[in-house]
Amino acid sequence: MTRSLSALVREGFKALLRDKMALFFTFGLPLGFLILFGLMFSNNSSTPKVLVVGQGSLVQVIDSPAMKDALDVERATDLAKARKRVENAEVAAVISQEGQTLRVDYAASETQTSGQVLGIINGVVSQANLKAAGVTTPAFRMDAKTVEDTSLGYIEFFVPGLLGYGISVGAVFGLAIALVQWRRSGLLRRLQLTPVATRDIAVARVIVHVALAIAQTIAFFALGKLAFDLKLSGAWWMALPLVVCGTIAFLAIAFAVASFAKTQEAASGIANAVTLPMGFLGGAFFPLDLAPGWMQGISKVMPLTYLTDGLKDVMVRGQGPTAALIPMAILLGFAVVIGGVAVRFFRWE
Amino acid sequence: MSVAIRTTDLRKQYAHVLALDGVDLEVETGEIFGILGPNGAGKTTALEIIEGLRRPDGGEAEVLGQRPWPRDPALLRRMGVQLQASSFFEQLTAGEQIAMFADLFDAPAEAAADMLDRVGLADAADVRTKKLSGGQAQRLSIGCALVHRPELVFLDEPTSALDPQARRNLWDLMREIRAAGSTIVLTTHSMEEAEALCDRVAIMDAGRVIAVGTPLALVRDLDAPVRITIPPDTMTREQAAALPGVDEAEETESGITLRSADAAAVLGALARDGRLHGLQVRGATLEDVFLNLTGREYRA
Ligand SMILES: Nc1ncnc2c1ncn2[C@@H]1O[C@H](COP(=O)(O)OP(=O)(O)O)[C@@H](O)[C@H]1O
Ligand SMILES: [Mg+2]
Repeated sequence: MTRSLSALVREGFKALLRDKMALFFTFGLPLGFLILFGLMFSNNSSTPKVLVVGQGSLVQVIDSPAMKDALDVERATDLAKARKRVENAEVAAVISQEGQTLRVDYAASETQTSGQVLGIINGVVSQANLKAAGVTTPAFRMDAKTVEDTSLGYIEFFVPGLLGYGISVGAVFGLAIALVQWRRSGLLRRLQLTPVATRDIAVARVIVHVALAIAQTIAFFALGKLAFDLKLSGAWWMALPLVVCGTIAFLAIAFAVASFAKTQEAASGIANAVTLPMGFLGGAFFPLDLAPGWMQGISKVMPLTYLTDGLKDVMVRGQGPTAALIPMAILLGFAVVIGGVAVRFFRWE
Repeated sequence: MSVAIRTTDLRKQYAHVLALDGVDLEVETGEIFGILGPNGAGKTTALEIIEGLRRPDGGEAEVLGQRPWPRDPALLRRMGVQLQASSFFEQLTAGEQIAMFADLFDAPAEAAADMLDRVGLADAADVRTKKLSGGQAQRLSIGCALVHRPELVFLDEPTSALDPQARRNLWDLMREIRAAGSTIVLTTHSMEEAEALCDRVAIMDAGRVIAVGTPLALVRDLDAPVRITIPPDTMTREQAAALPGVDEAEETESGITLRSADAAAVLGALARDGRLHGLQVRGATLEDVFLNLTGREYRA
């Protein structure tokens, strides 16, 4: 590294650490979102709540610790009162046993949870029937695996999603505003009168922002693991090269923003207009699987989509390292195209 | 004398203004060369073309034997530039700023602290540049231009924001730099500064160079009358007008002001009468040169 390059890199880090706003937007805000979303969704468990009334062999199975993951079971004594609570949608169903019959009262209006509860109880009854018929090894079995993001725990969805968003915000805002400020203050002209190579100025910014993105990644992994019991699966370490490629793509966007914006206000306005829609449509805040086709279409032209998707693949969907390669290539492709356009429009003064 | 800078017929047209209308300049190695002129004369534009920051529409510039455009790092290393508007890395302190320029120019690290001290900012080393006063910022900007001991220095209105004391200090610094063998080109709209500091000046107006020379020669060539002011109540206006060598006498607040093309005769006569006490003698200044060339009063 040349002396001027390392001086520019040091300046970049100092400027960042001394700029409270920048720190807030790169660390405070995205990590704050993660804490907020994590807390909001962690109590809202997806196990349906049911009431059981009375005794019986099947009731006993349902009210056993083995069922804990599938149903949130509560005991009740008064059947009529319990049914009222179903009508009020406080619980998904009331379960009682009369002789050999298991009775389930549920609200048809709550299709999704009702379906879930009925499926589970049906499974319990079938098991009991098989046992009664003396079958110990069933002839058929089902092996079910879900494929979409809804299968991910909330935290497993939010960590990669918000990490991608945080990186896009840090890089787009950080570089665009710095460049516009450098141009407006005349520093870019001043630097042209030093022997420093333009390439060194660019490389210094890339080094600073990539290091920053890596720090963000570490912070997200740490917070996810320590506070929310994030479960990593697959080649999660491939998140790092993905993050590097994503950062480069976002820096190209920042460069383009700085090429078109004349003032810092304009730069932060455009940066917002780019990063917010990208966050919403790029799978940072909610999964896109259920979004209408045109939305998914728009998301395809946004680099963040490929970053969050790649991150989810290797961090929580159990994919191997090669799953990151195509998203990485696409992200670098974005960087080349956007950067190429920006270079044509960039002004030094 | 070798030539540090030569420009021929520089022209620059902005959207609505013809900023340079054929500028020829020649700056010799080792001199302090001033470009003097009112605001909008084209001083900054000329300087920026010579520095290689702008491309002229016409004409040529040669700096240390090379073309300043396109940008040539080897040439830039030999130059030090202070732009008219100070610009810094906002989040750095004054000390870090100058150290940064030492790094960019690969100057010795100690040079940074020395230069900071030399421009009187040692006490402000830890102050963020955005908190510096106008004068401090200007001195820092000059320090950053000089930290690598360039052989050719460009200063665009270096003393415009400085108080008189700081201005004198800066003049001393420039004389030191000249003594060390460097060439300095500076712009100013202060006639006083040009007369006190510059070996030669070019007077610019409306995109043209209207006169070049040493301040003394410019004034001498003008052949302007000397003004002699006699304190009040020494003699009447008529008596004064009758003195030998006096072309014109007029009563002013400070006494009677005589204009004379032959000051020696007037002063000789006054000396014989023992009336030299309280006398003020003022020769022509660059302001008179400007007035003579443009027909306008000089207003910075
Ligand atoms: N970037 C620019 N765009 C348009 N006009 C400019 C620009 N810079 C300077 N000018 C105009 O060119 C003329 C010369 O300006 P300048 O070289 O800055 O003069 P000086 O430094 O002597 O005050 C002025 O009329 C000024 O308004
Ligand atoms: Mg100027």
